[in-house]
Amino acid sequence: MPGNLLALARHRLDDRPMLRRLLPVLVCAVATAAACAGGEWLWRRLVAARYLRDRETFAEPLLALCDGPELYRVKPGLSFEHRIPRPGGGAPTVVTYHTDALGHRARGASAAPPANAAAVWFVGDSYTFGQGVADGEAFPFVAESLLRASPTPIAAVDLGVPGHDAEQIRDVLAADLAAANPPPRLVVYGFVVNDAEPPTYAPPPPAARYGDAWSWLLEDGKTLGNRLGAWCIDDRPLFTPLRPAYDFDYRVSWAPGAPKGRAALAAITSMHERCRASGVRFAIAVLPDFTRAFDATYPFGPIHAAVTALGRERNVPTLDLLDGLRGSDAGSLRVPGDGHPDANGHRRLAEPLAMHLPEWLRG
Amino acid sequence: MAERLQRLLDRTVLLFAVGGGLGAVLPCSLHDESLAVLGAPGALPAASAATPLARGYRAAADWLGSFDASRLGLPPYTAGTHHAALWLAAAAAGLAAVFVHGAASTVGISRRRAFLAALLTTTAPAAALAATTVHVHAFLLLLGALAAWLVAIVGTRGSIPAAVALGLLCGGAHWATPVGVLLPFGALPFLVRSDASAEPTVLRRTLLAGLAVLLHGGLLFGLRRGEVLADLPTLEQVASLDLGTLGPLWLRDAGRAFLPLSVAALAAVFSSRHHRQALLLVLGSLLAAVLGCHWTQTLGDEGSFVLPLLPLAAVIAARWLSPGVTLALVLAAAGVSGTKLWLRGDWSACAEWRAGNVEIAQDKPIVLLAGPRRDAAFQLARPLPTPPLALFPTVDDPAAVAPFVAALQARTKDARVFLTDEAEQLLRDPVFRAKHAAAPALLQALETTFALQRVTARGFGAEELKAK
Repeated sequence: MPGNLLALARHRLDDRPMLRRLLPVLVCAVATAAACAGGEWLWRRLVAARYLRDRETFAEPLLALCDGPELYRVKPGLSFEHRIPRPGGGAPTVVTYHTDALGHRARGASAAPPANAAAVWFVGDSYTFGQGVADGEAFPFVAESLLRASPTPIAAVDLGVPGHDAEQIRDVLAADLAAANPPPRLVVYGFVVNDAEPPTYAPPPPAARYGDAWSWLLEDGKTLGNRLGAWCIDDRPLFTPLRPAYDFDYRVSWAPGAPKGRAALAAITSMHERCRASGVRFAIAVLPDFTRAFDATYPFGPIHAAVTALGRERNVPTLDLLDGLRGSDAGSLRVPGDGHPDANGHRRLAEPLAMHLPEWLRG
Repeated sequence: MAERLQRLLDRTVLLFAVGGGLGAVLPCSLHDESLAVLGAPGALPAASAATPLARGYRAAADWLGSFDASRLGLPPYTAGTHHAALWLAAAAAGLAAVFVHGAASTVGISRRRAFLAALLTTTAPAAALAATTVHVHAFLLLLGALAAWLVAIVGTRGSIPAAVALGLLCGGAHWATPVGVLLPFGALPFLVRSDASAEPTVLRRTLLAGLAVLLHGGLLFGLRRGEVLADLPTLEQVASLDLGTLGPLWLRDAGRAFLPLSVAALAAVFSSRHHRQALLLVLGSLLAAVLGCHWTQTLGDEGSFVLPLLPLAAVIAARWLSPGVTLALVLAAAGVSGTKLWLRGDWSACAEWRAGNVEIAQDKPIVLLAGPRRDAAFQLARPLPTPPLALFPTVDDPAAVAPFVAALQARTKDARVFLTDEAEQLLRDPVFRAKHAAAPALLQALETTFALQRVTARGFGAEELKAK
């Protein structure tokens, strides 16, 4: 029977020479399209499976995954001992992080603020959270203690989440402001120069990761193409992935027209808008990178300048904390074996901040 | 006679094909060093821009750029320094192709292969980049090709005048730019072996090479007043370079920058006929990487230091490989070069910047307070009717701030005055403010004297300075 069908098909094709010539091309095109579609389907299944596996195996002792766009937050009611090995041997730095029922960094042994203190939220990443320092030593709480005896005391709330970028910080702020009753008087965003880089701790869901890309396979192929291009042609990328990669030279993300810098500035603008809509004042503290020398070789000046310019443009009080640290030895102000500021570093950040907070609260 | 005419025709075609082809894609990439070569105010000082070669290049570009075509009876036209500099670079690459063709013909390979050797030279990514960039790199290629041609004459005919010319050329090139020290190394392998028969003898060739080396050293000694080794690294400095830096730099500057020719030259090391020449070439590229690493403080420069060796590599490949394979290499190199130029070219950003300026001006005169890098580069490539005001030297002199701002205030009466994004970003950059004493004062004076209003159009963004 199949033999008969094949013979019939051949007979019919013999009557149509044009179709006979086109048939190989058609078969080739259909096979290619089917292979591409099949590859794309398979790739999407693999990506989804990998995402589920990553979620299931997520084991950050400090962080818990959440369903919101911020991907993860600090675990509520946490007591976690963090051991940071000292390079070259010696006793490691050991600090214990405690968080309250909402996952905010605990104040520790420092005294509670007076009853008339203005609530000030500090949003940011690991610098704001105070990674590497004990409870109460992060700059929000140091600023609070410096202002305790002043006419304008504050009650600091530390919403910092290690590893968050500007867009995640925006999402945390939006969610917490919506739930806050009463809202804070002021929100201070502790901007760090890597805030334009994508999140690394937790896997973003595939839909967020691939955005508007019509082919996930091609989207991932761009990375491979760029790697090959770097081997054979030039360091500059051949293709622009929709999904940004983490750049360790943060300046690349802030080059004129770079999408990551633009997205970070848009997130800051959105934070400002959100605060304004809630009747809350908003300010930016630009924190320097403590892994770099605070002298003329400090490489991220243009990033500080871009954020300061945005603040000026939008009439948002912006304080560049690098100015107060210029000439200091960055190595002596950071946690040994870690890039974050130590207790002294946080104090140096808090001192100029405490001088400006009353003015920001007054507007 | 007919053969000579044919060769002349080949070379003329090469010159126009290469120079004209590259001229069609101009303007290409602009960077800080290019600005320094053209002496843009405030551009970063660059060591390679202070050499006699760079100064001569700039003088030639200035002269050609200000030459009025009406002096030749043509419609009035002046190209400007930037375009003239680009034309000169493209012409130098075209001339280099002609000399490579000459060198290949002289060592006795066929007309077709000589033509392919010339094309291999100019389609190499580093050469294409050099020919479309305002820098001295294209002239290094030209000098390398000229040296290759002279040494081919010495190697095959035993010509004393060619040996004298070679020595003087290498000495002069070494004086004009430190990279010139690599010219003899690029030329030397031609003396190791040529396709000519036993004449001239090895002894004669060696003596002529010695004469060239003596003249090189003597001329350099005279021109530099004894400071012959001034620009070379000391042994301690070479020993301090680690392989983790040198290895990737060599792979990038001598390998990737000349693909696929570099792979062919490396493969030639294992050929029975060309292994000595190819081995010397590989050693020469290592030396170039070490020197380039020293001169650029480990950064390298997309193969520009290896350019003097390129003519030799092209001739070796054209002699060794079949014409079909060589043509495939030329086509592959053209593809890589085209992609590289497309990645590095900033002509569309420049055009957008210029169009944004025109759109904002709306037929009114505009004055830009511009930055020293991107703005200055774009201004060089597509000059505005009114030259922008530079931040330098005002940002270094606190006493100059008040008169400068007063002058700006006066300009707002008859023109629109803008502070470009680049200039504003610099004035707010904490590192720039720390380096330039008057930068904070200038920004403060601008903010207190004028109302700043954000303006953007196409590729141009600025703050308009409006009188309060």
